[in-house]
Amino acid sequence: MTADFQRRLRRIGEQRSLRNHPLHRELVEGALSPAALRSWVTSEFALASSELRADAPETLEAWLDLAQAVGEDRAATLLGERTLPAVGEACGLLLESMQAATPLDAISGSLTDLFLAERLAESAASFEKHHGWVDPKARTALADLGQRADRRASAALDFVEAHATTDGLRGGCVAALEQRFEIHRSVFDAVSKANAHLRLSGAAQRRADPVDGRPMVVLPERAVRLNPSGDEILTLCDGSRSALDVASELQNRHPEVARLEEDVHAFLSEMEGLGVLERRVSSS
Amino acid sequence: MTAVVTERPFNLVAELTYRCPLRCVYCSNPVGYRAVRDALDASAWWRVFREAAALGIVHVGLTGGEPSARADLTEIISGASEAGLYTHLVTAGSDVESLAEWVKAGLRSVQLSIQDSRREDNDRIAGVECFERKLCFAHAVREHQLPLSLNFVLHRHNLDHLEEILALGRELGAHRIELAETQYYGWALKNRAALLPDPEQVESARRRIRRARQQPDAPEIVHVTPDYLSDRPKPCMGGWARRILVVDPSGLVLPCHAARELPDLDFYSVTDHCLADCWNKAPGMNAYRGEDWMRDPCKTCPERSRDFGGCRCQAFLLTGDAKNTDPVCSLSPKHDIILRARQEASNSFIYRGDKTD
Ligand SMILES: C[S@@+](CC[C@H](N)C(=O)[O-])C[C@H]1O[C@@H](n2cnc3c(N)ncnc32)[C@H](O)[C@@H]1O
Ligand code: SF4
Ligand code: SF4
Repeated sequence: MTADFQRRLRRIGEQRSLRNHPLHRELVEGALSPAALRSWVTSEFALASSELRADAPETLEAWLDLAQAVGEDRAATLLGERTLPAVGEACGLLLESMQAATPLDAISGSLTDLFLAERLAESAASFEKHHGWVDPKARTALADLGQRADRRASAALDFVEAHATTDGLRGGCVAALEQRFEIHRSVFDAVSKANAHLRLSGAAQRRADPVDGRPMVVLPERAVRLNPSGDEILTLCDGSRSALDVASELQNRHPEVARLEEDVHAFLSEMEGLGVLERRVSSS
Repeated sequence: MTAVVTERPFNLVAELTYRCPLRCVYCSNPVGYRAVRDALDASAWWRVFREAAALGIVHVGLTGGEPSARADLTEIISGASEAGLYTHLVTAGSDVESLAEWVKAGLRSVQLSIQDSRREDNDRIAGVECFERKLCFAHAVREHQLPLSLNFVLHRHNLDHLEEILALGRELGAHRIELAETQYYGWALKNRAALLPDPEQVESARRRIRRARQQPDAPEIVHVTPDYLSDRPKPCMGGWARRILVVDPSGLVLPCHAARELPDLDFYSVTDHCLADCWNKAPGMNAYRGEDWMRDPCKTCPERSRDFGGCRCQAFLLTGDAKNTDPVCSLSPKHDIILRARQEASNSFIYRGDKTD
C-alpha cells in the first residue's frame, strides 16, 4: 500500500515535471536568449523564495550565484526587482496556499523536488554546450541545487509515507502536489510568454493623431492613444524581440529610471490584451 | 444655445442604407426605416469621409441596414480608405463575391453578425435562409487575412446555446466575439416580450462567459450586458455627441443611430451643411451635451460623469421624456417601468417589415 503510494507520487512528479515544459526544452536546445535565461533564473529564485524550505539560505544563495553567472544583478534579484509581474502573481498565490496548507500538504507539495535534479543537470549540460558565455560557476550552483533537491525529496517522501496513513490524507497529498506543479507550470508559462517575439498585430494601424499629432494605434474596434514612451516601446516590437528583450533594451536606454522593466511588461501585456500586439511563440 | 464643443469624435458610423435582405426580429433599425431614403451617392460619402478626417476621426464603421445592399460599396470603401480612415465593415455577410474587391479598395476589418450557432435557429431569427452564406463569408474574410470579429445578438432563444456559439466563433477564426444582449430600440422594441430572457438565463450566461474567457488562447469575448436586467444604465455611446458621430442614409448627422426617434430635436444633414457644423452646431447635437440638461436624480448624482445619465433614447421611449433619468437606473422614479418589462414574456415574433398594428 505505501509502496504503491510512493510510486503514485513519483509518477505524478515524473509526469508533471517541468522537464517537458517548452521553456525547458528551449533551454536544453540552446534556443534561449541571454535575457530569457536570466528571466528563467530570477523566476526560479522567486519560486524558491516563496517556498522557503528548511535549507532556504543555501538554496537561495545558490540561485543567486546562478543569477550572477548568467549576468543578472544579485541585489536586484534578491529584491525581486527582476521578477516578471505574472511570476510575482503566481508566487503570491503560492505563498497564500502555503499559509493555508497543513504541514503534511505543504511537504507533499515540496515533492516537486523529485525530478528537479535531472532537470537542472540538463540545464547545466546545455550551458556547457550552447552558452559558452555563462560563467562556469553556474555548473557548481546547479549541481548544488540538484543535490539539495534530492536530499529534500527523500526526506519529504519519508515524512509523507509515515504520516499519510489514510486514503483521505493520501488524497490530500496528491492534490497538494498537483497544485504545486500547477503553480510552477504557470511560472514557466509566464516566462515563455514574455520570451515570445512581439510584433504589431496585422489588424493594427499606427498613425499620428490628425488633431494633435500624438502617436496612436487604430484597431478594428478601438483607437489607442500613446505617449512618447509607449510609442518608443511599440517601435521595438518589430517581430525580432520578445517582451524580455524589449524591457531590457529600454532599461539600458534609460538606466536612470528605476524598475522600468516592470512598467514595460505591464504596458506590453496591456497592448497585447487590446490587440495592438501579437505574440509569436519563438521558434529557434 | 451654442455650447463650446470640446468633444472631438474619433469614430464615424456610416449607415449607408437601411435596405437589407434579412428580416431580423431584433433589428435595432428604426421601425420607419422604409421612409429613410439613400440620399448620399458615393461622391457625397467621399466628401463626408474627408470632412470626418479633418474633424479628427480615424475610424469608420460602414453599416446599415446591409451595406452590401449598395451597388457602389466598393467605391465607398475606397473613398474612406483614401481619406485615411481605418475602414471597418459591419455586415450580415450577404455578399461573399465582392469581398476581394473591397479588400483591394482598402477594407481593413470585418464584423459579421450571426444569429445563432444552429442553422434553423439562425434562419428563423433572420427571417430568411442565410446561415451557410454567413459561414462562407467568414471563411473568405480569414482567407484574405482580415481581422474578423463576430457579433451575436443574444436573447431568450439563443442564450442557452452560448457554448456552441463560442465554439463556432473560434472555429471561424474570430479574434473577437461580441455577445450583445438585445438592445430594445427600433424593431427590437416591437419584439421585446418575445426576446427578453429570464434573469436566470442571463445569470448563467454571465458565469459561462467568464469561464469561456479563461480558456487558453480564447479570443477577446465582449459581453454587452442587458440593460434591462441591471440597475445602472450604460454610458450610452460614451456620452451624447462626445466620441461617436453617426451619419444615417439620408445624410442626417446623429449622436447615435436611435436618436432620430427623439421628437423636437433639430439635427443637420450633410446634404445642407458641412460635417463640422453638423457636429458642432446642430441644436440636436448640443441638446444633451454635458450636464446642463440633467434633472434629478442625475443632476447631483456622483455617477453622472461615468454614465452620463444613461441613454436619452431609452429615457424617451420608456418615460416619454428624453430629459428623464434612464429608467434602467434604480434611482430613477420611473424604474418600475423596467421592473414591469422584466415580468412580461411571450413567444411570438414580429418580423422586420411585417405590419405591426
Ligand atoms: C443594425 S446592424 C447593421 C449591419 C448588418 N446588417 C448586420 O446585421 O450585421 C449593426 C449591428 O448591430 C447588431 N444589432 C442589430 N440589432 C441589435 C439590437 N437590437 N441590439 C443589439 N445589437 C443589435 C447587429 O448584429 C450588427 O452587429
Ligand atoms: S440586424 Fe438584421 S435586419 Fe437589421 S440590418 Fe442587420 S441583418 Fe438587416
Ligand atoms: S441617477 Fe443618473 S447619473 Fe446617477 S446612476 Fe442613475 S442614471 Fe446615472
